Amino acid sequence: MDVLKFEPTNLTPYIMFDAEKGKIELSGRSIPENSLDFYQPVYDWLDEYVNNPNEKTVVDVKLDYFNTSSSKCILDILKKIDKLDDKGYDVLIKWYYDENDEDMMEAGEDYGDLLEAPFELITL
Amino acid sequence: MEQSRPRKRNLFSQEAAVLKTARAVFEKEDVTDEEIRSALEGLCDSYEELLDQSKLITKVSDRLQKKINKTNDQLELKNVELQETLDSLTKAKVGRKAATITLVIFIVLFLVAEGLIEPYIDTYVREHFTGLAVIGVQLGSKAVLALFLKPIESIVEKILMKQAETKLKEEKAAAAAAAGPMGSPIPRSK
Repeated sequence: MDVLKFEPTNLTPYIMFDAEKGKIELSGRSIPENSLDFYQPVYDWLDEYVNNPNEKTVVDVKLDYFNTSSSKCILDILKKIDKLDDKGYDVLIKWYYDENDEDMMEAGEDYGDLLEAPFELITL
Repeated sequence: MEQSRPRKRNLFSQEAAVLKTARAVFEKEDVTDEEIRSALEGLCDSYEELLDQSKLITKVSDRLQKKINKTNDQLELKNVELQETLDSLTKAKVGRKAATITLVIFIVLFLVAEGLIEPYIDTYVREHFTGLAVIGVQLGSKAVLALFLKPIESIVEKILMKQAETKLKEEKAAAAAAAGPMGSPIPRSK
């Protein structure tokens, strides 16, 4: 599988999904005008990845800010990865947040509550 | 023949598909109990999922609004600070300009007084006074001229300040017109 990589912009986050290493990274700001259009390639990549995943998948989320529609897309992404945990694969989701950003920490807690896979909250 | 437009994807197309499937089952005439049970189970699972999503999205949305309000407050504060700095700068600029204009007025008045009025005063004083009194009257006439300096500066400063304020108002009105309705501050949620 090809590495999926998007460079960050003012509106969209940095994305790097590497199937070979089982590493998934999402960082920066996510406020695209059309979240679904932006995240659709990510969904497609993940749909392919979950059929042939790495034994261990580590997800690093280091978001500064995201809009409401992105919150739904991020949840959809994490849910897809969460299914790997159900199937018995090793999954670890790391949610990074700035120590002064209480909102992002609480958002991490909310996501963690909805997922079954191990979820770590880490201060930057 | 009218062509059907492709259905636009949306964020909740997956959830809409679940609903459509369930509806199709319930609308069937020869539906079995097993099919109804299965559809209901699917619907319950999806509803639970959707409820979780709604909770999360509402929280995220509230946090976003809180952040916007906070940023708006900071912007308003910065705006006040900026306005105060601008006012001080304008005042200082006007003060300097007023001082220069007053100096020019003073020089003109001094030259006029020295060249045109002073000879008459001099003649009058020498005819009516003697000794130190002559010097006193001469210095007094210059002191009167100097006493006018402050009121002249105040008047010039007032006129210049009024001009600067009018100019600033015009600039603000032009900027607001150029920004349009989107240029107004972000409305605060109640």
